[in-house]
Amino acid sequence: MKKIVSIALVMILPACGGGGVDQNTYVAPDSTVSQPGTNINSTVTAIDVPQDFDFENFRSASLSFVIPNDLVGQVDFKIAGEWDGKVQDLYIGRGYPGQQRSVDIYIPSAIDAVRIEYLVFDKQSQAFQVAFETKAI
Amino acid sequence: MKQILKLAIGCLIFTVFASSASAASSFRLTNYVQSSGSTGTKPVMLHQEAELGQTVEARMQSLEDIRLEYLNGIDAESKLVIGVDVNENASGTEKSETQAVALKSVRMEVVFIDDSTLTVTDFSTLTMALLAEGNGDASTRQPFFTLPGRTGSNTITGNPFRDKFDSTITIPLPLDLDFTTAKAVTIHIDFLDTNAKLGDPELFYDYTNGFEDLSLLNDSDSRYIDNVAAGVILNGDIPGEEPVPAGAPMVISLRDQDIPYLEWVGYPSSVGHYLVGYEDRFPSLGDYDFNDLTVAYRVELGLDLNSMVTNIRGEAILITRGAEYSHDWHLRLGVGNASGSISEWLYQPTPDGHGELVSAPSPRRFASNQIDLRGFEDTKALFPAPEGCKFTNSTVCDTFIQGPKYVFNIVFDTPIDPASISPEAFDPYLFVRDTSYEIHLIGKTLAGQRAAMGYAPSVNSAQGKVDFVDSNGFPFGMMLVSPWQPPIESRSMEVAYPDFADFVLTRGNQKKDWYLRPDAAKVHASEQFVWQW
Repeated sequence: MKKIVSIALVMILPACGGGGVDQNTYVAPDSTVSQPGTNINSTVTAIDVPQDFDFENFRSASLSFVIPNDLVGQVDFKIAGEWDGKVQDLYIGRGYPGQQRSVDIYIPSAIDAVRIEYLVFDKQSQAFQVAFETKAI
Repeated sequence: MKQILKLAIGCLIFTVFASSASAASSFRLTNYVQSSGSTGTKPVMLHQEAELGQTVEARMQSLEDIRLEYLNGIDAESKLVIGVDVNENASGTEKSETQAVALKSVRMEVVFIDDSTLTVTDFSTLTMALLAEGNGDASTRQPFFTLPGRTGSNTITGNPFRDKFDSTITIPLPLDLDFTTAKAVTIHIDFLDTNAKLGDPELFYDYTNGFEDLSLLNDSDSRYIDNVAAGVILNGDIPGEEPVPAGAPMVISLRDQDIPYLEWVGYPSSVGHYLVGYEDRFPSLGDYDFNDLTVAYRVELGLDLNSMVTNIRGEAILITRGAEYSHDWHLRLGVGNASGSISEWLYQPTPDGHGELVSAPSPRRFASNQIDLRGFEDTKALFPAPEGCKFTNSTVCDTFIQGPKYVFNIVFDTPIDPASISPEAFDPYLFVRDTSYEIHLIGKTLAGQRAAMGYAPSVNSAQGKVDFVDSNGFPFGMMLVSPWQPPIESRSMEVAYPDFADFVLTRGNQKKDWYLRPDAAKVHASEQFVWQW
């Protein structure tokens, strides 16, 4: 009888829109899915979460590099990663040849390399250069 | 013959004297550069411009008056100067304070009364950028002239040209040209189709809007506009102030004087967003679809050339509201001990992508080590469910709507050390209006300055609810990576994303990109659900 009451309660609950549910009365909408490590009869959050896991999908990285010495003129650079199907500019800066730079970025954990692009223009000679460097992080 | 020559010289002297004695007028052109695919290509026919005169002859005389004013001016150059009102969408890396287009070519064709013609292809502006055209990759970048600008103006001069126009295009002309002997003058302005897929600088200099307004400028107006340097300098129209960079990326200034520059750090990038999803029944267990409120946001730090932070700007967009409750969404930033001013704007989406400004309170001062921004207040009112839908973008429903956008800019009185603004300090949190609970990401602390900021107090402390992990070890708020799509209502994360369980069970060491492989039937279809604007 208790079980029937529980099911009836579930049926009149809103479609869980922010739908607060008591763990004991919730019936998962997709009961066919079973994941490794899940609790039996529950797909709500039936993962045995490791102790103190922070669910972090991003990570910090400190990136150091030296602007190449063979560039002449105004040196603009950018540091870019690639995810979500597009180039993502992490840092856009300006420096000078031989300059040591250190930059903190905070990117998706799945990204393991970034590209540094140098865009150089010499106003006096009107000469320009583009150069690239890939850095593992 | 001698007499004719004397007369001609006399006329020339008179003309020069007359021209220098009375300044030529600037003219607003009715022609504008109009979109044609991704480039602007509509020819500007000056001989048809009624603003220049009632007849073709009068229009040619107006052109000649302007040319002679430049020729007899300080620089003694035979030229015309076109003013451009840059009118780009303030989205992506383009902001209201700095936006730009790049020029592929400018060509002037003059047809004289005797049917002879002159074609001028030389032109210049005061800024350039290295850009890749079309589908060219980054290695194909080369210099192009650019036209920076901004939305609006800091000061009202009462001069419609100085108030409206942002940048100039100079077209050098032969010294012996005489427009009064011409019957048609046409200018072709082609904007550059940049490869925006490369990010900046191409994304900044792409051409995205319907049209850019044009004018023909006299000497004093063109000098004023060049000095203001709209889109490059933030306060160029305020005399006596130290120039503040507007934030245009990778701009090459051809001016003689040095132009200050800002570096930008984007969190997560200058075009991407952090996505953060919440379960709002805290402290009760939720259904783990993380769509009770879903928000996209980014934060950008502007750094001076000493690598000190001068300002922080950012934006947030509501994606879903799958909840009965209403919320306030906040973004808390640690800033060390700093003071400055905060400007905020709230927009609702419009079909043209510009958005309608619905709120822009006066900038407010702060002096604190924490800034607590309330980006969205009362989400239920702000982001109501479409007709026929129970919630907003969360239930299986044919109607998807784009959410409001919050934009902020924090300017520090004195630049601060970026180390005091670690990205981990960004704290996107929810205040549930129905329960008065704060909901933070795992590891974050309660907002300590709600009362000082004028916000309603939360009940977390009084009830001892200060940890944001439930009895299953799950968070109530989670930072997610785009292109993560919110699960449809009541589908928990591990059901909607089959790899999520492995990600969690391995403490995040495996399946780090679990969000790339959803069960398509249990998340919003991306074609129908485009939240970005």
